[in-house]
Order: sequence, then C-alpha cells, then structure tokens
Amino acid sequence: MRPKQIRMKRNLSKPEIDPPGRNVLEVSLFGPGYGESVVIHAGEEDWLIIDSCVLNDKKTPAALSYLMAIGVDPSTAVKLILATHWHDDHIRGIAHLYRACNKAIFSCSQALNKEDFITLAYVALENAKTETSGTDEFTSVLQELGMRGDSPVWAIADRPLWNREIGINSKLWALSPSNRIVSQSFQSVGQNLIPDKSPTKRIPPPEINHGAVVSLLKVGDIAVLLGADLENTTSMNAGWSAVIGSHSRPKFRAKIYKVSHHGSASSDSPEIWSELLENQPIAILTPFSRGNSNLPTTHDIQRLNSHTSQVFTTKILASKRAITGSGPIARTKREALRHCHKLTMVPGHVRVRIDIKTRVENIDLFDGAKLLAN
Amino acid sequence: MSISVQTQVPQEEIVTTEEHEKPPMMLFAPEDFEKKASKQEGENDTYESSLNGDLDTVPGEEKPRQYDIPMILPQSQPDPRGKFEVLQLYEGVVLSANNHSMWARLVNKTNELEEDEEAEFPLEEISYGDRKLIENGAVFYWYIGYYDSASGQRTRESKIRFRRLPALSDDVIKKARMKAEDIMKRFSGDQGDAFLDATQTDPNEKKFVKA
Repeated sequence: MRPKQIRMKRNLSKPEIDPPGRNVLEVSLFGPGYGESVVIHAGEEDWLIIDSCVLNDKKTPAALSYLMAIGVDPSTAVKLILATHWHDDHIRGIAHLYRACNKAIFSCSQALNKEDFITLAYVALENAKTETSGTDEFTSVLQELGMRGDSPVWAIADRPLWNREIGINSKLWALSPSNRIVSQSFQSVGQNLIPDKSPTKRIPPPEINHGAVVSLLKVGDIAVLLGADLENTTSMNAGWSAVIGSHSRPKFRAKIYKVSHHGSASSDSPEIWSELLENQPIAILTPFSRGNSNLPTTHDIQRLNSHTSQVFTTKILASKRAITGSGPIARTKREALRHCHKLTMVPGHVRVRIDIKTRVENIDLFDGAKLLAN
Repeated sequence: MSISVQTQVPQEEIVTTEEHEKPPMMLFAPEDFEKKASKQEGENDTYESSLNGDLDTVPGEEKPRQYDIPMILPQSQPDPRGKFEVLQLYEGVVLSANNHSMWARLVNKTNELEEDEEAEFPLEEISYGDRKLIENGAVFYWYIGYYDSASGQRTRESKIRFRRLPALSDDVIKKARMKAEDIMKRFSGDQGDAFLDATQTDPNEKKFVKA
C-alpha cells in the first residue's frame, strides 16, 4: 500500500513549517550530519526526542533547530529525551538539547547505571580533552541532571518510559537492553575498565553497543518501532532475539519503523518484520559511512525492499571523489593519502505525518532524503 | 626560540597561498609548534589559546594582552633551525587501522567551520616512533606547510604527530570516583519507576508536568 502523498522538498517552506495538528503523529528522522536524531510528535503537542545530531555548524542540535522552525517551544513541549546508546553518532549535542528542554525527562540505558562507568566517563573526560568520544556529552548531561535534582529514567526491556492518559493515549516502552545484557555490562565495567597509570594508552569511549535502547511508541492505535543500533548476537537473551522472544513486551505491531543500525544485515531479522511490524510498514533510516564501510549496502537495500516498498533514507551518500584543487594543500593531500573525502554535514530529513483518526499519511522528504528502491 | 606577537602585520610579511587568500597562521619552528599543540596542561599554553593571542603576558599585568589578529613572527635574527609556515592543520582521530594503512576523521583546525573529512593514510606516512600509538580513537595532528631553512631553501612538508597522553594521576582517578559516588548517591533509589516519580498528570493543564 502506497502512502497517500509523498512530497520531495529541498528545504522547509510553507506549508511545511506548520506544526502538526494535535491529532497528528509525526516522526521526523534527521541524519547523517553528525549522527542521527528522531523527533516525534506524540499528539496533544507533546514531543519526544530520540538521540541527537548536530547541524553543519557542529553545535546546534538538528532537533532543536527543527522545532523552533515550526514554532514549537522546546522548553515546554519536549517531554522526554532518550539517548539510545553512548556512541558519538547518536549523542552529539544531546547536552545542549537537554538544557534547552527544561520540562523533559532524560532516559538512557540501564547498562550505564553503574558507578564504575560514571567514574570511567569522568576519567576519560580528563584523559581526552579535545577528543570527541562523547564523554563530554555524558558528563554534561549528568551535571545538568544534578542541577535539576533529577535522575535518569533507566531504560531496560519492557519498562515504560513515558505515558500520557489525557487526550490521545500515548505510551513509550523500552524493549531493550535485556536483563542479561545489563548484567554483563555491569560485570565488564567492573573488570578493570578504569585504567592504571599508563602514560600513553588512551581510554576507549564507552562501548555498550548491545545495551542500546530499542523503544516502541503507541499513539492512539498507531505504533512506532525505534530500532536504535541494536544488532543480533548469538545469544537468545541479547540483541533482537531477546526483544522478539520477550513474553512481557507490548504486542503492538508498528506502522513506522526507524530501521536499526542504518539497515545493516547484522541488525535485521525476518522476525522483526513478521512479529513487530505491520504489513508494508513505512521504514526510515539514516545512512552511515566510516572509512571503507558504508551502510546500507546494495544487498541491504534489496533485503529491506523485500519487506516493504516504503523505505526512505535521509540521504544518499555521495560517492568518494578524488582530491581536487591545485594548491599546496591539495597537492600534499594527493601525495600523502590514498583516499580522502568530505563528510556530508547537512542532515537530510524524512518526515512522516499520520492523522491518528483518519490514518491519512503524508511523507515529506527534505534536504536530499529519498525513497530507496531496488 | 623567542617569539613575538604583533597585531598589525606589514603587507610584505604576509604570504598568501593558492588555496587560502589570507595570511598564514603563524611562522615558527615546527618543534615549538608541536610542543604547543601536544601540551595538555595549562589553559594558556595550547594551540587554541595561541590563536587567541594570550601567549604574551606582560610582567606586572594580571591578564595577558589580547590581540585581534594574532601573528607569531620570528625575531629579526634568522633562526638556525629555519622556520615552518603552517598552511593547514588538521586534528585527526583514528577510526580503524591495519598493517598497511589507517583511516582517520580529520577536523580542520585552520577553519573549524569546514566540513570534516575522512582519509586513508598509508602507514609509511607515520613515523616509526608514532606507529605504536595507532589505535582506534588515538588523536594526532597533521601539519601541512612550508619549511624555510636558514639558508633560504623552501620545501613543502607534511608532518604527522600523534598525541602523547599524560599519565593518569591518582588525583584524577580519585576525583572521578568522588564525582561518580556523588552522582550515584543522588540517583540511588531510582531503579525503574522513575517516570512515575518524575512526571505526573496535572488535571488543570491536562498535560504531563515535572513533579
């Protein structure tokens, strides 16, 4: 089934700058820029933000910029900010975002709820002052939480994170990390992650990938599955196997799917499509490029299209080009490097709006977002 | 090497480049620059702060002098080691490495508004001494510029220097532990139903509000 309307736009312009109506569910995905971010209108003028990325000024969170562009006051309208996991491409600008959203509760993985991990973050901050490992974002959020006298809502499988019972019913659940993963994270953090006084070794950024928070939002009778970067593991008690096999998770099938981990094969499974999603869901994703690795691959696109004809990407990544220019810098780069390419820093934007009552769908594609077809 | 900082640069001192129609950032021996860029302690002794022109503190004055356009120029006496004119500085972070090359994300420190880049460096571009420092997340600095020898010879050079991290002190670890303990005390008791505590329904506003 095709969406009712797909519009492709270069930039926000009227009527796109109008905020959604109170009865409209909106899911806006931004990326890749510096990371990805999902901005959700859960009806009734309540907004939720999952992860954060920044614009090409390297400072302004895309979510903040967008909300202000459509006339939404983030200081009162944003009710929850969820950091799915502490990788740099998901949390850039999240401290800035949290400071701007005064009424928002902050949620992150239960796998981070450990004194040794927080110690490690502060040591890493001291150890790598100029490096963008995300520890500065984490410690800034902790500082802001302290100033507000708040604590995070720790996310673990099948736990509700946010709820609204007035007007259109709406509820957000975490579907991961599983109990097993949280226990393992606690054990691994306890095993000498705090370094000794080695003079040159760098403290790695927090690697709690399998602790990523997948979440399910239900607004009225429409559900949204937010896949974070959760991947499969060999264990039935971790990754997507644990999500699918859980007896206590809410059993709603989602109409919209934020595809996990940029559409990689390692983050997909047939059961996601058969157990967690409606038939022909709207799938949205951000691409990813690092070094020689690019996602989604051609095979990934074919696989996703075998499940649904509605797969949208926020950007088509430009092919890697030769170094151009004739000046001394370009000449040196050509001599010294095998490859070099600029990173795309203006995030693309896929926006899905569905009227809760009529189920009329509108999909808007901004700044290079595209329908991904075979 | 002694250096001086001045705000007004005579036109004849300005060397324009093909790619950047602006004066070069600074002129000095590369060894001094590397010391500045790699030094971790002391806010007034980093590459960043040198750009802000606070290297030159006047005796008797509490605050260092501030300059609008910092230029670090050699004294009139030629330096026997020559001088290095930095055209471009990148801060790099290693993304991955194998036996032949490494991929890195490059942040343009000459113009931070420029888009970041990703590049693959053959390992032969890295000094033997620095190769042991290559690992995911390691930080390095890449200078591209002209070296002018004391005898007047000019060569274009590419210099890559990996950052040496200072040893972690007991004090740093102790302070981090204290901060973490303090935070965990404030978070204690919050084991899962925090959203019920943190939010409540306000029947007057018909909205969720903070408790």
